[in-house]
Amino acid sequence: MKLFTRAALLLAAVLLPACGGGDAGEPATPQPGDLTVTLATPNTDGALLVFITGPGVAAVQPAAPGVVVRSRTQGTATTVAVFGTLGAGPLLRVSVPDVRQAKQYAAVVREAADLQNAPRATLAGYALEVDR
Amino acid sequence: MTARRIRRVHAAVLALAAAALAAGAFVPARVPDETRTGWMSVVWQTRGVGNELAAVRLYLMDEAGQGTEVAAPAGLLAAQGGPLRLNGRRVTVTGDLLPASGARRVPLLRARAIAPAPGPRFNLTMASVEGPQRYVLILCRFSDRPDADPRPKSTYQQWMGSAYPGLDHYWRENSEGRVGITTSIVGPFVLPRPESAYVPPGESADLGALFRDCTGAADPTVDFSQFSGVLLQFNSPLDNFSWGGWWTRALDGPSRHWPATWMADWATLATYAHESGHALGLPHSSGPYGKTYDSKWDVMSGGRSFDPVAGTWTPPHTIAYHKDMLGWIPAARKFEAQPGATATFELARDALPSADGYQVAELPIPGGSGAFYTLETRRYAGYDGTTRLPGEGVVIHRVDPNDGATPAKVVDADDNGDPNDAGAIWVPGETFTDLATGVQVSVLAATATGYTVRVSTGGTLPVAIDSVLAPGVMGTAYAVPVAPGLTGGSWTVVAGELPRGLALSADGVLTGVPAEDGSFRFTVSVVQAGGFATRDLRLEVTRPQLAEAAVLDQLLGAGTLTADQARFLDLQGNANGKVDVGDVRAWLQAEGIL
Repeated sequence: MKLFTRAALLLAAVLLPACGGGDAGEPATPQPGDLTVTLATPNTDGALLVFITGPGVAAVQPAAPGVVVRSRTQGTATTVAVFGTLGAGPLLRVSVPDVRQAKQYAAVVREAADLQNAPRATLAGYALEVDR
Repeated sequence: MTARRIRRVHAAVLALAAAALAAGAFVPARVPDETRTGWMSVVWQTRGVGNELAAVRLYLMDEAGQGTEVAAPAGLLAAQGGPLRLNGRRVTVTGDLLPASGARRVPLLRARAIAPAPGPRFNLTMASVEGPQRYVLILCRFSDRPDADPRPKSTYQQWMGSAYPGLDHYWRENSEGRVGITTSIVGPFVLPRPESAYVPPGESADLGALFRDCTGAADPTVDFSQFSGVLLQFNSPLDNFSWGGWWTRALDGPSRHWPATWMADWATLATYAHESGHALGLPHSSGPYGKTYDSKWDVMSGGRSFDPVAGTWTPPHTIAYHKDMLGWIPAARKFEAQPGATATFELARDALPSADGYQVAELPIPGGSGAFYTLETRRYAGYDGTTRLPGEGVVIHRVDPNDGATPAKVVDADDNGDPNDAGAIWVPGETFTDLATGVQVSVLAATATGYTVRVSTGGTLPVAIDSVLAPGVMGTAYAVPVAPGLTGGSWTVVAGELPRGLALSADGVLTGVPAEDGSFRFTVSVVQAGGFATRDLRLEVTRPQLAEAAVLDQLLGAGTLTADQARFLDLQGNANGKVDVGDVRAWLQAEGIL
């Protein structure tokens, strides 16, 4: 019995780690799709320059009608110029290889210009949130 | 019609004609080719406290003091140098004569020819008005209103006085003590006839009769040989005009050409100043709009303000041109520019001038007409008080000596109908340029009592300039000499606008970075020792052609634009010294992409 008990405890010790961890039960294949970048702002602007970090950005699309987007991605850095009448709310849709990795993406506003193309002197109150 | 009825009609016509003759309704026939000789007297007819000009009348006075009004075409007067040049001259006038009749108390000679006549010219020239003048003011009442004068005699004594506000004081200040008018007031005297005999209803006043009877009423008590001018004050509105000028009559001696005024009952001190100005030999001045009384710069136009303390309207100074006419500005204090000249000097104020600087500047206008510009400084002083002058600054008049009625007219740059506003007041930093004549005046700075001005007159400086300059590109440095090969000149832009970012240097190089595109037309002037010239120029500024991808790459981090192209992007955007998202948005909008 003593030998049997020891064998059982050893097996349990080996198996228990295999049952630990939250993702241990998900499929291993990535889920390509779009993340949404949402703007918080005290202003209405005519143009924004947005900087996104995160891997594998394939495309950037406007999230609202009437908005024009031009972007350039180099490595994990994507710079996006956004033109239109831009207020608070969904701003961009970013195509990524695995939306489950949303937490790996971040975005900030680098420049803002008002509707007369004058630069904003401060970007206080501007924030971007990236989520699925 | 029967023979009897015909006879009756003839009889009726003859009876009517006889009745008309008997009633004095006969109109004397026009006399063709009438020739009369005498001295020409000019009289100015003005109305109201604003001294509105109604007419300039010419009278030919014979040895007996009888006047014939002369109506002459402007061209005929201009050939004689204008009406003021005729004043006091002995001339022979030929034309059609309308004899006096009915309401026309003075014969009218419609002149076809005026010729100098032998005989003395009265000693009254523009330059002769100096020294103390003794005038007599005669208060005359019409026989049908013999009881009152328009104002107490003491008021007229104050108005004629040697302290402010008095006529003697006023002209002494204008002439810097060269001329004073000491006036003795006599009367009242009652005229032998009623007002209607001198001022027929609806007709002009009979100046000759008024002068004859008013001086005649005073003659027993006045020794006219002691006086050089006659002011007549009547106790009615006359024909709603006051009059000033000259009249010829023998009074206590041989015939003389008298400075004279005929004052209506509403006359104020300003009216006296105005009419006595005419008596001194002054014409009117005005703005450039054909309104004789619209200039507040001159007692000889509409200049006056009400002085509540004095209780009457008071005048500003007369303009420098008029002072020069009367010989009140010494030659050493009068700047007379030569053609093609440039000079900088101080221009002292017109009223109570300081000892420094010129008091008037004359700038000839090319073309042979004899016209010129005058410059004068108007600053608050003396009778040029704050309530009388429209402002302080340099005032420019264009003077045409051949315009006998109003030779001097204010130059009003904004052409807005008001010669008393900022458009006529030239202050430091402002430049007047007459492109047509090449005359330029810059007010450089204020001095204690005047202004420093720089003047240039049209010369023959040959300046070769292409009217279309080498094109520029927005954002790209530009440096093009306007007139290659010309050195030593001083250049300025006198009209039009340069593109933003460009400036004309004093040595004539257009430099800078154009910050806007388009076609720009402007006028430059150059002044140098040999003369003055202006040129109209055109400069085209274009936008550089850029690809959208290159513009976006410049923003997004892979820029390939040149420094000039990047500067262009910034300049056509928000011009904050760098290319940003606002600049790119502006470019996309300009290109029609957004």
